Formats: sequence, structure tokens, C-alpha cells
Amino acid sequence: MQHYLEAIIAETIERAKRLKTRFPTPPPLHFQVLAHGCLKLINDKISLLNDLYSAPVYQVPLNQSARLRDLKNIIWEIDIIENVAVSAISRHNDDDIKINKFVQQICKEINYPIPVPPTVSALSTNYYQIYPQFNLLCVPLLECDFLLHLPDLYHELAHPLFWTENDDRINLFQEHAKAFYNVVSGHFDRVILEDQRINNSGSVPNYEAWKKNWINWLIEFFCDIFGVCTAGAAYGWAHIHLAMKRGSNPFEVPLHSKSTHPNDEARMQVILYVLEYMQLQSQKDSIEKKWQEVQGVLTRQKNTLHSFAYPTELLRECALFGFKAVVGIHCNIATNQNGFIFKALNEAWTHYWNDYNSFFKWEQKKVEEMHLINPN
Amino acid sequence: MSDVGLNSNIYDVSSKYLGILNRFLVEANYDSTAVSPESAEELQTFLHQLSDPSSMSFQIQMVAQIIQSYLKKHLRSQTSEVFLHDLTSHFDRKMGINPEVLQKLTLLAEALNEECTNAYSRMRFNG
Repeated sequence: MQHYLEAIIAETIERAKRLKTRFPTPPPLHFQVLAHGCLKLINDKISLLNDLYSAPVYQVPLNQSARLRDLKNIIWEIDIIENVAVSAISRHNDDDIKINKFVQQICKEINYPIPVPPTVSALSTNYYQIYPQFNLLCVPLLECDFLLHLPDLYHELAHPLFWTENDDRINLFQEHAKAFYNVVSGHFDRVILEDQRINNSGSVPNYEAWKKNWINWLIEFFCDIFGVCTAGAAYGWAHIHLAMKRGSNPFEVPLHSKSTHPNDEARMQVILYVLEYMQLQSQKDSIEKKWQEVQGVLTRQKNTLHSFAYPTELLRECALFGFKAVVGIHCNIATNQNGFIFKALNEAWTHYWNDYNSFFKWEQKKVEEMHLINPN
Repeated sequence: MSDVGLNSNIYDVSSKYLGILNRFLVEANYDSTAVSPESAEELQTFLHQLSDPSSMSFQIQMVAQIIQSYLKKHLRSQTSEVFLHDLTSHFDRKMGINPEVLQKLTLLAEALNEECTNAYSRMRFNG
């Protein structure tokens, strides 16, 4: 078995080295930072593989399981570098240039606190995806020709804020996330104790599952809050649009199981609270009204567990902590925002609701104007 | 929005702390009397952080949640809090490395390895 493991390590080193030959020289301008980062990552992986191959600690039979565990993780990581990052670099096209300029302009408008904006590739196979380890954002091919979903870019830009380390500019954001999870934790610890006392622990497994899920839900809620704080009402509209076109049951409550995303109803409630905190009352009322209309079509209803998994007071607190987190890192929020893209995305939604027949022509003209901007 | 952003973060954070456990385990399995001071210190710091996650960073809060849920499923006669407390004080009191301690550390490594596996597969199937 030891010999077989060594053969796989040697094979993986060969593949990693071959991957380095697939970078165009020089890489296209907007992909140079990504290419530099990937080459470094590949070198790091090769060095770890060399260590796995020859370090004396890995030569004893007792360590072969750990060796295999490490090897698998490295193989997965190289797979993602190959399938996502290097593919994006080697298959770049003109749409990538447009969308990169676009995201750079957004970062400028919102005073994005991370100094290097993500590289963007129009090569996504599944809506918007950010890979924080590469600082790479993937969007579908046609995304920069349409405006209504673009507010979701702001959500994706918030993900790296959770994981960037040793950066004073975003400490306050992470501190608020941490403090709010302590609130969540305290809440569920209290209700678990109460359930043990009066309900013979009948609901404890659900509460424990929700407590654990809330750490993932918190991240998604905070990314939504970042989105609505920076993109304004357009973000709320885009959330309805996404839930309507691609969402599942907006009231889904996971029982005993792991869930990464909160349901759409809870997300909308948090978005509405933030609009209220920003004193965008009329936009909040319009979005809320439309959301209720949408629910009428969806033929799903809230069940009684919803308020236990997503207590109103926690959603309200979440909105407040998240709002303070975004303000704390000095991003330009919607009420002070006058940027070209911010205005275009909000105008787009107003126009769409007023008259969708004339909207598409207006949208194409606006998109052409937007592609003329030069963020530098 | 897709799950990729969240899952790649979960993967990265889990794999970072899994690395600390793995490094210590392979060194201890090789020669339990010659574990490097860096690996021992890294592990001790990590165990302390796990014992009091509420005062630590958001990353640690997430890792602590992952580990505690796994331990709840896999421990029969002990709570996860007592398990972690015993393990931490074992190292604080410099009681040396024995098979029981290595088994406990392996359980923590399995918790993070399972999370890495799940996060990776969610990333792939949503990508």
C-alpha cells in the first residue's frame, strides 16, 4: 500500500507540473493577479506533495492513513485550481473584460475594503460563485448584458470579508459576526435548557441542528446585508427575482439536518429590516408588498417550526449587527451612494416595474453605456 | 446565489485546522518523544481556542461548531465539553503522549476531515 500511495503522489506531482504549462504567456491583463496566485498555489502543493513522498515521518505504516488523508485534500485542491481557476484563465474572452471593469467600478463606488478586487470570469455553470481562495468570481456568460440580477454581485463580494486575515480594515465586520453568533448561541442554549425542562428534550435535536446551521446562515445573512446596504433597494428586488425564478420552498425549515442557506422568507425579512434601518421606508414597503404577492403564487406556507428556527428577534438582531458591521468598515452605503452603477441598477428596477415592454430596449442602451466606463 | 462561496470557505477553514492535527499526529506516530515544539504549540493553542470559542475569532467559532456536532454524534459516555477540557488539560499538564490521547486527536481530525469531504462535494455539485 505504501508503494501505491507513493505512485499516486508521483503522478499528482506530474499533473501539477503539467498544469503550470497551461497558463498563457503573458496571461490577459485582468487575469494576471489570478495567474500569479495560482502559480504560487501550485508550487505550494508540489512542495507539500514532495514532503508527503519523502519525509521520514510518512515512511512508517502507522502514518499511511494520515498520508492518504493529506494526499486526497491536495488532489482536491489541485482539481479546483485546474477546473476553475486555470480554466478561467486559459479560456478568457471579451465578456470577461467587460465584467471585470464592471466589478472594479462597483468596488470603487462602494469603497470595498479589500484592496484587490476579485478577478471575474464569465465561465460559471451555476449562477454567481465566488472562490475566495483565488479571489475569483464566476458569473454566467451573458450576465454582463443584463441588469436585473447584477445586484447579487454585491452579495458575493461580501464572502471574502469573513475570511481575510490580519487586516484591520475588516476587523469590525468580523467582530460583529462573532458577537452576533454569540447572541445566536445564547438564544439556542436557553431554549434547549427550557425544552429539557418542560418538553422532555423532545425538540432538542432540532434546536441543536438550527444552532449549528445558524453559523452558515449568519454568513449568508451578512452577505445579504452587505448587498442591501451597498446596492440599496435593487438588492431586495433582485432577491425576489431570484426566489421567483430559481428558488425552492421559501419557507423550508431543515429538521435534524445540515443546511447552508437560510430560507428565502427569513432572508427577505432581514433585507426588509435593513432597509428600515437605512430609512428607505417607501422602498421597503414596495418590496414587502411584492414579496407578499409572490407568496400567493408560490402555494407554499410557513409551518409552525419556522419561527423556532428563525425567531423574529434573532432576524431583527441579525439585521442590526450586520448593518453595524458594514457601516463599521466604512463602505459607502445606499443612502450616501451616487455611483453610476448603483444608480443604473436601481433605475433598472424602477423601469422594469413601470413598463417591462420598454425596459429591454432601455436596458440594452444602459448596458452599452456601462461598458464604456473605465474604472481607472 | 450558489453555495460555492460558503463551501469553499468552510473547506479552507476546516482544512487549515485539520492540517494542525495531522501534523501533530504524524509526528507523534513516528516518534512520540520527538514531536517538534512548533507542532505541539500549534496544537495546544488550537485546543485552548476550542475550549472557549465564544471569545475567539469567527473562524474558530465555526470550527468549534463542526467539532462539537461531530463529537455529540460519536461520544457515548462523555459530553463534548468534558472531552475537550480533558484533552486540553492533558497537554497543559504536560502528561506526555499516549495511545488514548492520539485516539482522541484522531477523532477531532476525523470531524474536520468529514467536513472537508462534505464541503468539497457540495462545491463540486453546485459548481
